[in-house]
Amino acid sequence: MDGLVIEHLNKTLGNRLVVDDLSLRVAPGDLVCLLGPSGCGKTTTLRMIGGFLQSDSGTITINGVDVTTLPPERRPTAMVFQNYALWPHMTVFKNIAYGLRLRKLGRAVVEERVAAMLALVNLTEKRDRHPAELSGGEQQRVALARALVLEPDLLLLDEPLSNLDAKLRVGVREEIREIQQRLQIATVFVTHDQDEALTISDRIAVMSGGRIEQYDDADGLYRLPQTAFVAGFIGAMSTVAGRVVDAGLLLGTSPVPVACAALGEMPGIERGVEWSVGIRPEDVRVDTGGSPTATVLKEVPHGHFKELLLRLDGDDATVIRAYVGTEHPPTGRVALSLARALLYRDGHLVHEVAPLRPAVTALAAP
Amino acid sequence: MSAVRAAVETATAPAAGARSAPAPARRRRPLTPGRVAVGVGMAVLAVFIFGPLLWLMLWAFAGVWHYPALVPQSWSLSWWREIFHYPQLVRSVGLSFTFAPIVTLVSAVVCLPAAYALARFPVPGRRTLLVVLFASNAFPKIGLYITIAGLFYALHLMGTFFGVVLIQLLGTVVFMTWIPAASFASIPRALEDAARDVGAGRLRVFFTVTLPLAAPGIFVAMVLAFLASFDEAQGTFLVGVPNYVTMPVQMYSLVSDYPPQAAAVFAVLLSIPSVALMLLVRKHVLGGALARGFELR
Repeated sequence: MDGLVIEHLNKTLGNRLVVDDLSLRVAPGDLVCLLGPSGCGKTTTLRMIGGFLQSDSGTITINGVDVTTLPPERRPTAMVFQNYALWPHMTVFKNIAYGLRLRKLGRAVVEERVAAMLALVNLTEKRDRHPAELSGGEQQRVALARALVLEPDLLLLDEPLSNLDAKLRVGVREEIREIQQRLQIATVFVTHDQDEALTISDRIAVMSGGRIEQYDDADGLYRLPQTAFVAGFIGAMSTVAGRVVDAGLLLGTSPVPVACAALGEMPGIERGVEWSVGIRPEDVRVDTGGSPTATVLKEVPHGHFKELLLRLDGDDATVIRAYVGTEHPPTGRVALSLARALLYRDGHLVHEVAPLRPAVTALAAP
Repeated sequence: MSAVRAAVETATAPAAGARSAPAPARRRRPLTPGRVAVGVGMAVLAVFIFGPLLWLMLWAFAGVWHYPALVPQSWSLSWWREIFHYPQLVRSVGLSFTFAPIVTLVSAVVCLPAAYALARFPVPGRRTLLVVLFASNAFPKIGLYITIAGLFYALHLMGTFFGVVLIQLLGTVVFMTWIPAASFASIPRALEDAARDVGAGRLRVFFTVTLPLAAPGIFVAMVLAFLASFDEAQGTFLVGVPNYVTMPVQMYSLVSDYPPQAAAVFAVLLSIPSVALMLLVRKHVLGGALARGFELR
C-alpha cells in the first residue's frame, strides 16, 4: 500500500496514554489534517511519524517500507516545525542546501535545486539573508522550502501557521495547499484551528484523548459529525435533549417541526426515549407567525448575518442558536422549525433527520 | 532627535495642558545632593580601581622615585631591558604561554562533553553536580592544594609538567562547565531535530548546528579558562617549583628580591594577555553568555 499507513500506534508519556491505538491511512498526494484541542495527541503522533519519538507499539509504514524503528535521518519524511527551527547561523541558501549537501550532490546540482525551491516559495532575493532578517511569513516559507527540497515521500507540518498573524495565516495556508497540490506530495498537517483544517485538507482526522474520533473530508465532518465531541468541536452546534413525537421533535415543552415531514410516519426512529439532538444554527427557521415555541433572548451581530440566542419554552430553559439575515431580525416570541437535525445517543450519531427521501436516514444501530 | 521631540512637546503642550509644561526642564537635571553624592562615589571608585594600575604603570617606567614625590624624579626603560635579558624570567614567560593554552584545551576536551550532557540529558544529581563544581572555588585554594599535593606525591606528579596542567585545570572547570552548559541548554532542540530530519546523524548535528550556536559561550569560557590558568600562582608554586616557574610564580621572587620597577614591569607584562582577551570577549561577556552561565538551573 502506497502512502502512509499507521496501525495500532500507542504512546505513553509520563504515565499518560497520549496516543491510544491509533490507525490512519494517508493516500499519496493527499493532505490530511490532524485536528484537535491541545493535549489530544496530534503532535505526539506527528513526532512519531517523523521519528523524533519512538512508539510503544504499533507500526508506521511509508510507501510500503516499515519505518517504525528508523531514526529521523533515515526516514523519507520532512518536517516543518512549529517555530520553523531555521538555523540562525546559516543563510537562507545554506539552510535549504544543508540536506542536499549531506547527500553528496555536486555543487551545481545543489545550486540548481535550491534556486528552484527559492523560486517556488518566492524568496529568490532573500537567498543570502539570515533567518533573523526575515519576517515570520518568509521564515515559514524557508522552512517549507528546506523540507521540500529533499523531495520527501511525506511532508509533516506541525502547527506551521500558529506563529503568524491572522491575516497572513490565511494567505500562507493557501500557499501551502497550492504548493502541496502542485507537487502532489502526501502531507500530514497538525493544527488546532478548524478553519485551517476545513479549508485546506483532503481529509481530516479529528482527535481527542489520543484517539481519532472521525476521519472524513471537510463536508462529511461538518454535515455528519459522528460523535458528540466532533459535533461540539467542528462549527457551531446546539445540543438539546429531545423526544420524537408525531409533529416533529419535542424540545422543551413544545413540538418543533423538522424538515417537511411528520416524524411519526418515519420508520426506524425509536420513540419514547430521550435523544441528544444536535442542531446547526443555520438549520433553524425562525418565524414570527404561527404558535410560538421560543423566546429571543439576545441578538449577536456577525457582519453579514445575525446570531439569535433562543430560549425554548419549558422548565429547563434550554437555549439554542439560530443564524438569521440582518434585515428585520425577529424579536420576542417566535415559532421555530428545523431544516435538519442530528440524533445522538451515548455520544454517537444514530440518525440524520433531513428533507431527503427518505427523510430519516438510519446511520447506525441505536 | 531630541529637537524633534521638544518640538512635538511644544506643539502638544497647549492641548495636554499644564502636565506637559515641565517637560523641557527635565532635559537639564538639577544638581541635587543625591546626584552630587553619586558623582563623588563614582570618582572615589574610579580612583580605587585605576589608581593602583596607574601607580604600577608609573613604576614600570620609573628610574628614580622617592617619597614624597607624586611622580618619579627620573624615567627609564632599563628594567624592561633587564627583564628581557634575564633567562629565568624569559623562560617563565614561555612557560606561562605554554601552560595556559594546553590547560585551556584539556579543560575544553574534558568539560565540554560534560556541559553538553548536563544541558541535554536528565543526568541524575545534575544540580548537586553543578553546585559541587562551584564549591571547589568556595574553599581557600591553598588548603585544597596542600591536600592535593599529598596525593600528587603518592602519584609522582609533583614537579612534573602533567602535574602543573592538572592543578591549573582545577580552577577552569567551573567556567568550562557552567557557561557552555547554559549555551547548550539555550539552543532549542527543534534546531537539532530539524538537522536530523533532513538526514544528519547525531555527530554531524553536533558539529554543524549545536557547536556553532554554542560557540560564543564556549569562546567566553575558553578565554576565562585561559586567564585562570595564566594567572594561577598558588597551585603552580606548590606543584611546579622549581622545575616549572610560570610568570605569576616568578612574581613572588621578583617582589621580594628585586626593586619595585622590576616587579612593575613584570606585572604589566602579565596583565597584557588579560586585558587583550577581555577586550576581545567584552561583547560576549556583556552580551550575557557569562551571566547566563550562572543562571543555570
